[in-house]
Amino acid sequence: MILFETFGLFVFATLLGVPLVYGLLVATAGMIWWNGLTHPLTSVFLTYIGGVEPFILIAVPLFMLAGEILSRGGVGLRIVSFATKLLGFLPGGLGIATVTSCLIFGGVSGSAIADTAAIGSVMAPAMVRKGYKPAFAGALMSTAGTLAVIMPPSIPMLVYAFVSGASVRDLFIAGVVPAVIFAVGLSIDCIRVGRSTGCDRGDARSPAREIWTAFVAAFPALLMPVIILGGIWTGIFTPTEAAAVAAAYGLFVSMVIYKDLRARDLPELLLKSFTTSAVVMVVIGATSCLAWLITVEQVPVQIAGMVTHYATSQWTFLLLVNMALLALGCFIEPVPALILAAPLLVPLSVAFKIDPVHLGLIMTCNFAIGLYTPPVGGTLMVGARLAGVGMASVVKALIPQMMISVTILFVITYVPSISMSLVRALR
Amino acid sequence: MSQVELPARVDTATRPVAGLLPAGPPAPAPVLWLARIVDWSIVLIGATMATLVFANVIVHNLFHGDIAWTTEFCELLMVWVTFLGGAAATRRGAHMVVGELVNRLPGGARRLAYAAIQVVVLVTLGLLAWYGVGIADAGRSSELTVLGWPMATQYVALPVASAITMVFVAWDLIEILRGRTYAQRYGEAHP
Repeated sequence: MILFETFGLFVFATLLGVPLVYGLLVATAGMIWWNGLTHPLTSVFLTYIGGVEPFILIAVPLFMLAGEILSRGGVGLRIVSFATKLLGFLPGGLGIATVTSCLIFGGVSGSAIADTAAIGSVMAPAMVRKGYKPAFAGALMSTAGTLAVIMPPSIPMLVYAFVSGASVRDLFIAGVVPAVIFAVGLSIDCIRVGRSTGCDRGDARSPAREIWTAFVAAFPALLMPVIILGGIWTGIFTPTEAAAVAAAYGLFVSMVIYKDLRARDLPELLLKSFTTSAVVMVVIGATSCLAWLITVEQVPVQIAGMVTHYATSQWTFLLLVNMALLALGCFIEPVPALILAAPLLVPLSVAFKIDPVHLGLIMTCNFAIGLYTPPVGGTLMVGARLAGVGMASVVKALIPQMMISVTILFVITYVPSISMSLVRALR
Repeated sequence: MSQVELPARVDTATRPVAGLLPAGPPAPAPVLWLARIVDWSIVLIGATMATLVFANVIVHNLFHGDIAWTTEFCELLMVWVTFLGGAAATRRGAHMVVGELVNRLPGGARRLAYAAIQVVVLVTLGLLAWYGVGIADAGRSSELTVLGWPMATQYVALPVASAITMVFVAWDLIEILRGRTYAQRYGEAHP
């Protein structure tokens, strides 16, 4: 089947070190040539341009800009300080503060890598100084950083909304409760490690005045997710406009309130965020070419036939979906994985009476786990680098957290009301 | 009280800065000039997009109006900033890549592999530039709905940015053939 041939060529080119964007274009053009198909390359490359153009995707660079402004402006540090003072008394308190900081910063940035880097640059060394093993610190940064893609705003959810036509607002709201559950799950592992190793049995409680001072310092940052979600939910602005508001608010907080950022820093921030966004966007464009080819070749229909042969119920379909997505997430980053898989799964999910918003959440959670699974894991690499240890030892240390996360994934998958109750209540 | 020592400020700047923008890898003067034009274009387009989208929120909510052309203009700018951003990312070796296998190769084979990869990239970019010219040419006769400008103003971003990226890749290929390591070419270890 052309899907497997194309995917095989893509994996081959990518493993040889060809950048992902060119690997996807080579696989698409190569398969057309290899199979003697008559599709003109002009159509393929027009799809490439069309793949990066939609207005909704302008939210991607703007959310990245907001995240970049807030990371550089020291917002992460204030969030960390507040979370540490509030939760440091618990066993494994520093780990729990790390998870909570990642959850809060995730509500600001939307990017797992930015989340891991912003919080990890502060917390990984602090955890090691406290007595945690560096591998555990790296593992926790790798897993907790991915809360950013489940907690709104989320760049993968934006991309899924673009591909599937699902409501961004509903997707964002659906992510809130699962993100908190994942955070609680990771915190339980921190308590286990803090107690069993004796490295962090909990500090004395911080005085209420210190907690209040830290809260006031972090308040402008804590307000940001409320502004973004509240604005989208009330219809004051669209998700793309919310991204611009986030960037403007981030500038106001960092330059006027915190005074951590200068006007002369802005060109570099703009260059970095729009270049980073371009790296993601060209992959989206190239994946659109591949998605176009497999659609015109009727691959989704063939896949649907295969899946309905094996999956006879919603239960088995969701099991197959989770297994396939976890495997795909090991090799591909969330955004291209979503663009590839969503056009195949959305029509099937309708047939199995699964809400596209619920499917989007399941896909996002799967690919969030894929971010810390070898061989290709974005937060895994950053977490290992921040902790100063090898990827192999980080992978070994994160096995308990991965088991917790996969368990939560399956619970969220089979109990849709966990994510959908809030969506239905706010619709 | 918490026993954790947190730094007073996190310095996230990691690259050398020349003027207001990061310098990027070393190259001959014409390549550097081209790179600076690309970098500043990205900055200006990015600032324009962020400002326009935010301005529309203000106009929409405070004055109950709508700047109708901003959506189409921002989509046009998005195509330009994405492909130019792709060029800037190429120059900095910042594209998503799985380098684990290539990095395990011994010195000579690794150099050969890097060269082969850049040849594949050059051919792909050549196709994008060639077919992009055809797409832009065909787009001269159709217009953007609101702005009324030729579609070519949007489509031409693909061949222009692809040609610029080819210059960066060609220079990198020369450096590889001269025996320069990844760290020497990009100033850091391979990701």
